[in-house]
Amino acid sequence: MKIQVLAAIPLWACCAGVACGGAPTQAAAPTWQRPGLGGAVRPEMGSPQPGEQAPDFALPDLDGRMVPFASTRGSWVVLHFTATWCPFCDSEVNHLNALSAAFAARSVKTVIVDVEEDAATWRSYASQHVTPPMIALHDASGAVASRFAPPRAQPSFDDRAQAVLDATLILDPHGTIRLFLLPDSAHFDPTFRAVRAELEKLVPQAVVAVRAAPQAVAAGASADVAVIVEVAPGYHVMADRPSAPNYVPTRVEFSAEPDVTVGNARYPAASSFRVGDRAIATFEGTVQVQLRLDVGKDAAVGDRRLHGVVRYQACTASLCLFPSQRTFDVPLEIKEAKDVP
Amino acid sequence: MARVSLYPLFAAALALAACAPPSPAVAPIAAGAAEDATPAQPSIVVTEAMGSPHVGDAAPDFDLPDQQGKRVKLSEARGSVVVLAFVASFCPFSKAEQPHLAKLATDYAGRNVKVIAIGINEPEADYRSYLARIPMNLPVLRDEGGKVALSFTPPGAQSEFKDRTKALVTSNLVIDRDGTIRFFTLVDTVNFDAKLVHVRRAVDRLLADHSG
Repeated sequence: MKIQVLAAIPLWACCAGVACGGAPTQAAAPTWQRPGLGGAVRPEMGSPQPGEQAPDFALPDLDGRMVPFASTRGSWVVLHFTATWCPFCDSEVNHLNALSAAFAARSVKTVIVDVEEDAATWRSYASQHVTPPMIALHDASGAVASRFAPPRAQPSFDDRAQAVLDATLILDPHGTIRLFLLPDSAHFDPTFRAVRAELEKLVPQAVVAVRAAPQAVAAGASADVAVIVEVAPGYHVMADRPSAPNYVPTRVEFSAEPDVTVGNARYPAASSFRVGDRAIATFEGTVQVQLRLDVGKDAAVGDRRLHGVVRYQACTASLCLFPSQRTFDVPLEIKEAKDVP
Repeated sequence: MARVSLYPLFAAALALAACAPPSPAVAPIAAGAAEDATPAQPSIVVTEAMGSPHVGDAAPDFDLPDQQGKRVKLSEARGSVVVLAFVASFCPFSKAEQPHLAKLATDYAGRNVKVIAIGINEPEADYRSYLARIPMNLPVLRDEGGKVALSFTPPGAQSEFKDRTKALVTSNLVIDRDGTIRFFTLVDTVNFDAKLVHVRRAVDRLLADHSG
């Protein structure tokens, strides 16, 4: 006898409702009692605390350009305060470069802020020790660092900026503090193992990435847009015409845009993924989806952006992720209509 | 034979794991605990596990100039209890301890206790800026090149530091009248003892031993 576990309604939908709807949380051990997190700020130290919004600021980068911290909104951020003389910080900087590179693929931005040193000292140090994609900023006066310092962290420090020296924070895409570690000299680990472990838990794997080349189309003309969907190795997404009604089909769609008509997406042929004795229609690797773009003859000339979204459900051979979506923009330049007689 | 396809169930199971952000549920500890609490025990004690020198070893001798250029030898302090503090102008922990180190020297004057600071390897100007902060009524020795600091650095003390001459920044030792290390801590950034409460306790114990 054969039992097919195929629900008439999407299984993930009903379970998600149960799982996310205020399920009682277990009383977890305080953060600072967990391995590697002994330096976590404690509630009695005062604000800012995990769960609170990080202070906003703007600081100059190595070229002297002001970088508004709000420009990192939408990404997970690792924020680290440093000084070139600090032996803890100096032992960590190469490992922070490695963390920055490793998590960039998951769109995590790493920002290092030098506290209370002259610009020449910092620039000289950073040019040798800080590598992209890490963003190097300079807080010459310590004014920004002191706003991050909870008032009762290191209460014996008169200079409040120094209280967050060597501190590491994880901020979520809304700018909310999710982890706030002060240095813990008794368990010093320059490799950021605990921070990496928290990132692994907090930041979703980038299973699907999307890109599309900028388009230049004359008013009254048409173009084919190729949307490239990259599915991470080991994963597949359900095809546009899935094999079961409760599977989420892959869909590429665009928001309405005046005088621009986007045709139906044309998907490639599906691959076949075998689960037991069933073949499931999926996409893997690089998936190219074509859409036709018709620009009206009266469309305004100039630059605009088309807002696209890819909806998908990704799975491996053994498990499936929550249905998700990725938004992307396609820069579109509308040029003067060609002089057609 | 029954064959169950679990594929859709995995989708459901993962939905459970994927959507629950870890809530930062924290239990507050006793109010005011961060204010002025000195933990019962210093938490980074240099013991045998870190290598030598450690508590119980003879302190390495040194001969270094103080702020007036006068040479100071540890062996000449034999017969006194010695408090030895490794200080640095750059370190905010060292800065926070500095007035308490000066006060310690004042409080124990005339009780056969010598308080000696050793400036960690840093430029002369920085060493001078440490001295310029407050009047220091104790010898602050200049250890150019950090050789003496290294002779006091057990291999396991902050073994991850690239610059070994800085492993003992804001470390404190208490050495008995025979030259044996009886107290040796590295700076504890989580349970920071700015007021040198543990150092004072160690000195008091040694003074009590000798008077008894």
